[in-house]
Amino acid sequence: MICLCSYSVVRCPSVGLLEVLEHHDHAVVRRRGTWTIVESASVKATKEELSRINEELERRVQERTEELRAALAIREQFLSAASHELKTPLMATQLYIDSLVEATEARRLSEEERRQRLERASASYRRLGQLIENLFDVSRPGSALPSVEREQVDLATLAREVVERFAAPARLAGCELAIRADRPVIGRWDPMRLDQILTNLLANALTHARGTPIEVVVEEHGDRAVSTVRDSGAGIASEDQARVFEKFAQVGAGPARGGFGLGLWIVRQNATAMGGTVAVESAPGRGATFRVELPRS
Amino acid sequence: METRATILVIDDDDEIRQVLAMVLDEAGFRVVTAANGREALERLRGDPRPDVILLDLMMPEMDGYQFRAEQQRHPALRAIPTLIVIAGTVTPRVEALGAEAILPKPVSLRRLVDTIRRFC
Repeated sequence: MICLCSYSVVRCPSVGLLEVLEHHDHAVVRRRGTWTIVESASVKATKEELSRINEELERRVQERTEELRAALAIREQFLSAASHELKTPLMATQLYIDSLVEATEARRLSEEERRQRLERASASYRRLGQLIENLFDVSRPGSALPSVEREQVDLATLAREVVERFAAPARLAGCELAIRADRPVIGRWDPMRLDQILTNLLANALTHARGTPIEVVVEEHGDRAVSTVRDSGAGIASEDQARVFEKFAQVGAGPARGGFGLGLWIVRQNATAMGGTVAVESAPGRGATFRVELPRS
Repeated sequence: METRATILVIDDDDEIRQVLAMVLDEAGFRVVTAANGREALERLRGDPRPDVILLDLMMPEMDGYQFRAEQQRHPALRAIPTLIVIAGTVTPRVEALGAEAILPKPVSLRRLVDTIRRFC
């Protein structure tokens, strides 16, 4: 009997070959005149297990790579959208101010024209501020909800202020903006968060429902405050309705609809942080109604 | 007799269109506007050709890249000097658009007017 290693082997009686002893991992055997290395069952099993693990690892690496690639693409899109969004009001502000400086040097503008131009510069500046506010919100780690500083607030008064602020942008977008908030709706909320909710809902309506009427309604329903922003724009397909509240959601045709795709996500974050909910009712061609419900205490 | 040079402003932002129309009018230009590339192409078919195009890149429906591709397909439109107003960095893709000038946002009124005057 010839054996190239020190393993002990026995003759396999059935086929007349050498059989590997169980407690050894390998043996060298002669089959039909050729020497080969034979693995024991346990080595085979271990190798198979290893190859399974490798395949699994490979699959996971591929999955992670895809995820990272997608995250990078989102990051790039986001950065370029953020840059575009922030620089647009910045450029408008700069041009208003430059034109004021030139007109003042040339003593061209009337008092009223100067006032109007300053107001526009101020509105652009405020728009920039809102965008920056939204950006800060998204940079909060993970899915952490925003902090809420509660005080007694009249939501009706606050809503009227927000709507007033949107008078000029609404005119530019060709939207007739109306509000129904006749009675005070008092509750304990964070006024900054409430403002952001209404601001983002109105900004969203102006972007997606240009040239159509927009109505804001604030009402009290028992122990809850209900605010709705209704537009008559293109509406949202039912399969997209859940997605509009997701981070970076950009629903609708075309590459850029304006905004970061963060506005409605922030609305939901704020509503949730104050114990409330937000929902959308819409159908294609029939506009959209966003409804925010908040407990009053 | 209209002697003022005409600028076509293509930008999806209402406010930008409005402020550009205002300041360029005061600087002595005639201004027409379009809210996206498709609208701009329609205008270019009908109205007299502008002397300069001021083009934003990120727009819905038809963005600046697509507009530029369409523009370059038509010999008559290709000749119109086109200035790109850009918010982000000037990538190779932007350079490949072959615009006469690239103006980074926010652009000052003086630089904007000086650049436009170089082409009309």
